[in-house]
Amino acid sequence: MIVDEQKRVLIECNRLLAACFCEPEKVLFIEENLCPNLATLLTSIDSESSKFAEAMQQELLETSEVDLKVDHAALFIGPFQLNAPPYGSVYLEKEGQVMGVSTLRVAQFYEETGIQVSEKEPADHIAIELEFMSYLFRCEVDAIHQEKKEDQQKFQDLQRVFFKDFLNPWIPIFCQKIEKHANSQFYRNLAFILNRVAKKTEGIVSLS
Amino acid sequence: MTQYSMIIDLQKCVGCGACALACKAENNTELRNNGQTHNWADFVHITTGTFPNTKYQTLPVLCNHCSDPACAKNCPTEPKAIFKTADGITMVNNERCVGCRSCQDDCPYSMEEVLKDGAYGEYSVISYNSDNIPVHGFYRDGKELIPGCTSSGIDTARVLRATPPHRTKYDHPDYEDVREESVVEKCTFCDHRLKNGELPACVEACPSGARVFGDIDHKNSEVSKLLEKHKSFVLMPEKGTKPNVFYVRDYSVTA
Amino acid sequence: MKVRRRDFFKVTFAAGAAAAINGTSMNALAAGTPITKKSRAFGGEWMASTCQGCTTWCPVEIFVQDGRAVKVRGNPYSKQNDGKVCPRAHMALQQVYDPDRLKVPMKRTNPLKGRGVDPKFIPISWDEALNTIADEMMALRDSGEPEKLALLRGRYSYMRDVIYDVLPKVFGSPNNISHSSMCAEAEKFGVFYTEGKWEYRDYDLDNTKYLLVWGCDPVSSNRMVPATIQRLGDVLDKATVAVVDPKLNNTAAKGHEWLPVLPGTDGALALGVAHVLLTEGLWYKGFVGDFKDGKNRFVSGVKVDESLFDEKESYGLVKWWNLAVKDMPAGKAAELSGVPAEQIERVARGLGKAAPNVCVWMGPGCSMHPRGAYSSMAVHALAGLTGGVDNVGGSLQSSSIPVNKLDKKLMKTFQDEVALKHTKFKKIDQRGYLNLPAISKGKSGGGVSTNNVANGLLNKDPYEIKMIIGYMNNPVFANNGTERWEKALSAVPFTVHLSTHASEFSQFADIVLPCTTSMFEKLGYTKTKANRYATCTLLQPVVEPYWDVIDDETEFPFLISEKLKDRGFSNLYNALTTMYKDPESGRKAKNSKEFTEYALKYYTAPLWDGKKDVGGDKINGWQDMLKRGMWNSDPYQYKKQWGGKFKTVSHKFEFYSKTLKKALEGHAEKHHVDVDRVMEESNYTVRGEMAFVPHFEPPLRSGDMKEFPYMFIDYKSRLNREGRSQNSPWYYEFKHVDPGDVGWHDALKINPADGKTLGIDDGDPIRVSSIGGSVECTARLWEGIRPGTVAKSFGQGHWAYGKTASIDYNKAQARGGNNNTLIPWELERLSGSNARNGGHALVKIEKI
Repeated sequence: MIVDEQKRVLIECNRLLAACFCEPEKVLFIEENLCPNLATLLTSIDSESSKFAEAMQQELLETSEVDLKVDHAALFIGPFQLNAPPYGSVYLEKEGQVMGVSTLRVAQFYEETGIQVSEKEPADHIAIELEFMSYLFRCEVDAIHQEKKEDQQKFQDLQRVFFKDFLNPWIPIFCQKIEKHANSQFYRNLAFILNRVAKKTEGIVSLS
Repeated sequence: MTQYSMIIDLQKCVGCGACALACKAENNTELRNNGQTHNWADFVHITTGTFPNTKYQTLPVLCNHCSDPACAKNCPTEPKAIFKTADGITMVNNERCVGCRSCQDDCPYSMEEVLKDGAYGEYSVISYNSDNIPVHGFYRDGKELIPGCTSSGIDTARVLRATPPHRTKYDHPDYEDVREESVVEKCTFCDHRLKNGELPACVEACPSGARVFGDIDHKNSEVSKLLEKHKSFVLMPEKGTKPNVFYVRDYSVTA
Repeated sequence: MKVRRRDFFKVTFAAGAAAAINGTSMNALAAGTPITKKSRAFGGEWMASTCQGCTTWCPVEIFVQDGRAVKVRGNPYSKQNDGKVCPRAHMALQQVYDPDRLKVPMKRTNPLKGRGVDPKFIPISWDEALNTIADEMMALRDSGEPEKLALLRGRYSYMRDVIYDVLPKVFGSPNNISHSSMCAEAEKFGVFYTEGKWEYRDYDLDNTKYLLVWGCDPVSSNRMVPATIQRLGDVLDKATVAVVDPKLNNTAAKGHEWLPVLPGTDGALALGVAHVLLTEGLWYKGFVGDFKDGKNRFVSGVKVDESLFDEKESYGLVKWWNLAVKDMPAGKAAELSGVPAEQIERVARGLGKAAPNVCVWMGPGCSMHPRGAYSSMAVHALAGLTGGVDNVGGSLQSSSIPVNKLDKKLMKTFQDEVALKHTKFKKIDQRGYLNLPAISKGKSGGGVSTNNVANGLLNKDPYEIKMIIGYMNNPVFANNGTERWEKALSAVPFTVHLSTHASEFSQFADIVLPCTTSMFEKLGYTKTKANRYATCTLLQPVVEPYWDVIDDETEFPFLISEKLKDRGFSNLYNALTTMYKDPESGRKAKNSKEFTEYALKYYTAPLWDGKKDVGGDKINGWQDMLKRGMWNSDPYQYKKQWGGKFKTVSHKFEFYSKTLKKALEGHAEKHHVDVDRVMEESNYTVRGEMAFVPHFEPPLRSGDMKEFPYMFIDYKSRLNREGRSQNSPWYYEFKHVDPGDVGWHDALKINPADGKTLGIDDGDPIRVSSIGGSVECTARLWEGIRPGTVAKSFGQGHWAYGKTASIDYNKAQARGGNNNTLIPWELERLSGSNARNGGHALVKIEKI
């Protein structure tokens, strides 16, 4: 039951982290309580991270949207050199390719799970992969409630394989890059949180 | 039995290149690199005579899908990665292929390294996707011509979510729509299209109607009728591979 | 990536609550049926658009998978290409997905301009770009000199009216300059001053018995490429195919006769053929007429009494004979043109036998040179002599396309006093000056002279141009005499370039705006004809543009009109929104996208609104039009101009051109001189009556034959998407499909005998120089080229454009050589055309 509760938190946590990596829209983020909600959720899995999420809210209130957008673009979008490319294949493949073999594998993984990507971004974008993790956790929790043991096992397996093969291997270095290049505390804190949550997740998915 | 074959009517052919480009678009073949053309359809040009009595002709070339394919002889895998399908197509299975390239060596219509092109009579039916060169490097290059203003290969592939961005996606039990490193590749007669009731891309695209495709074992097929009507020839008959790509009539009426 | 749904943020903290209640929201992902590898279906949809890779303007369809363009075919509805296209359309995939496309507006930060000077471009926002442009435009309005804005048009769709007409005219500038005269105005000249139509011809290949191709390779370029490719194989069975070209082209290689003419002497050759047709009584009497007593009096060198001849659909045959043809027997024509007399006779007899089902297919090769206007007339006169004009199996005019026209009356109501006054100023190309008659359609200064814009700019004559807006063009690369353009553009204070790529022209621009590619992303329409059908075909955004780009011809004028309105000049905005209302709802456009759609609907409405039967395909409303993407006319009816309906002065086909006489006299009168003086000023040698008939002019050669001993021939590659495919690797990979060419090289075709003389081997790197400039390329020794003549296809030699097109963009280092650097600046002055053919460029060749 403890595991179940943690998974519930991970459903929400991964989704909100995914939102954090999207284009920063100050009003929307504030109105939707993005950072406070994240902070609350994190208390149950990593109190240190929770404090960082609270600080993100402060940063959000104090930084202009333009500054946030500039920082976000420099890290993740371009048009200049990306400081922290948010694509798995850049880290997973030789020569740091975008749209590499691993990207296709990720896309295939989604397809076989019955999920389509509706964004104009490669399938291995951090926000998409986090949202996918959120989806897998949700499916597992649904299966528990519907007492579908087989499904529960299936989604646990998917979580483990996806996380270990495609997400976990590049998160630490990705987070390092953000911490190194980000101008705003907002993204530095986000990197810290992502790294910690990944470590937690690693433990949780191996356990189940 | 079925033996798919192609007839190229040289009088109709104007050597325009549309077939080869349609093939590249359909099969997402790589750009020429490292001595490999990756042109499953290509051309050889022959100029004879002296001015003003000069003759010029273009000969479209592709895999001959031989009845006795030399390429398959020394294929080392078990079962063979190169094999004849029930429809008479000479097929490469991507999963079984280990990239030893013996097929390239054995095929009389292939070269291990193509340094020139059809202008000098060089082409290769079989190409090899090198084990140390990423496929479609053109769209993996991150260099921007004018930083911040123009795009890059990687950027284009990223936004379009495909490499190459014009990648035609399809499925086939033996081959991928984009072949990965360390396998050989060649014309498949577009078997993925045939299975879907469509003609090979080069046949469909030929604006002159020079390419005719069908089952040569079937007496009433268009290919059989054309072979009956016209004298035909195949390339390098002396090699004894029994090609199934035939040429009829002449490129030039004064030939 | 954005968060698109607010419920993506929703969180429920209640322990134990069913996750599904709050967990269903997704952002980048969407749930569907699981797709396993086996069952994966790769759907897609064929969507209609138009290929603008050459001037055939083929209706095409593009296969779209997951929002991406993946392959191309002809539009199956098309009665011109029947669903098949030439290599260009396929190659376009590498154009839309070119890694070097512009993705944002940019501005130059280095004020110094010139070839090889780094403009130091930096990205800017659309707002900044448009504001800057609007400020510059307002400065011209405020200082009362709107004429100092020039709009240079390149490749266009028929949405051009908006940017090319409405924008400059309402703003107050007369300087809307097209690029038409770069292409083939001298070719149209020959047709207009014989047949009365300033247009390209259509050709009835299905019914021809003799196809005489002159100065082009219709299966490679010209204006009905796929239709010709589809038919040539059968034509070879049913007809004789003869080709006049100094270089063995594809049609020549396949055909019965190759006439390797000495460049620029086409007039002599055509007259020689005419001489045989007339002396041997082989002309088509049913069109031309005959001697009253049926007795042929055309004897070489002997004058004929005009009164003995009874003309039918033609005018002035005997005058022409007496002035020019009688003195050009086959032997003399052979001497001048290098084509053997026996071959001239054989071809002439073949034409006579096949008459009137003779198709004389004229291309720019024989006409686009400094003295090409009369060659063009001479070649087209053969269509008249054989009766193939507007006839079965011959050259045809075409059906009209009943789309709406620009409402000039309504536009005028938005022109203020300044605009009305200043649009009447002289134009920067100096058309209509004494030495530049440009007598398009009979009117002095009636046609454009694109290449002379360089002179107008340099000499500030008639006045200085302070601002240029150019779109889908690259004048500094595409006009012969590139050096002159480099100088001229360097001195223009403010230039805006609307483009897909940072081309050579962009290097002289202050602001470059990224635009849609016409075949895949733009909304518009074009008109085209082939195979007896006229066609209206839509350009459509079959894929969503993936960079921040706009449609040049419609969105730019709309966006700039908003900015001008903000600055107190609202005429343009009012004109655009009023002139181009949605014809269905009557609504005015609120943004540039809506505006583009309304404008397109306005023009094409008669084809689909069902209000009037316009003939041709029946289209059921706007949505049907978009889906089909095109409209075919009814087939053109033969002999529509016969029976005195030619639009010439005599209403007949003119061998002695009363129409040209009137035009030249009109021009002379305007300048208070005589026609002889006009001839002199226009580079022509004849005086007197000869000016009104097709005749031979000794070709003008630029340079001293001792220093520059070879005649240079330019031709169009079958892989040229005009000058835009040279950043596509496929272009280089398959360049060898041009006869004599070699992949990945810019090959100069040299006859092996000349190679021997020069000590140059096949494959040698060489430098080719003329009085115009010097380029580096590769030697290709080939028997398909006339000795003494060398040939290279236009296209390569880009020093900007992209990473593939040039060796090093940052060092302005070209891949191959630009023919237009070699071909010295020159014009055909009667039509205003660029003079790029006829071997007027003499070159020397050195091994590097």
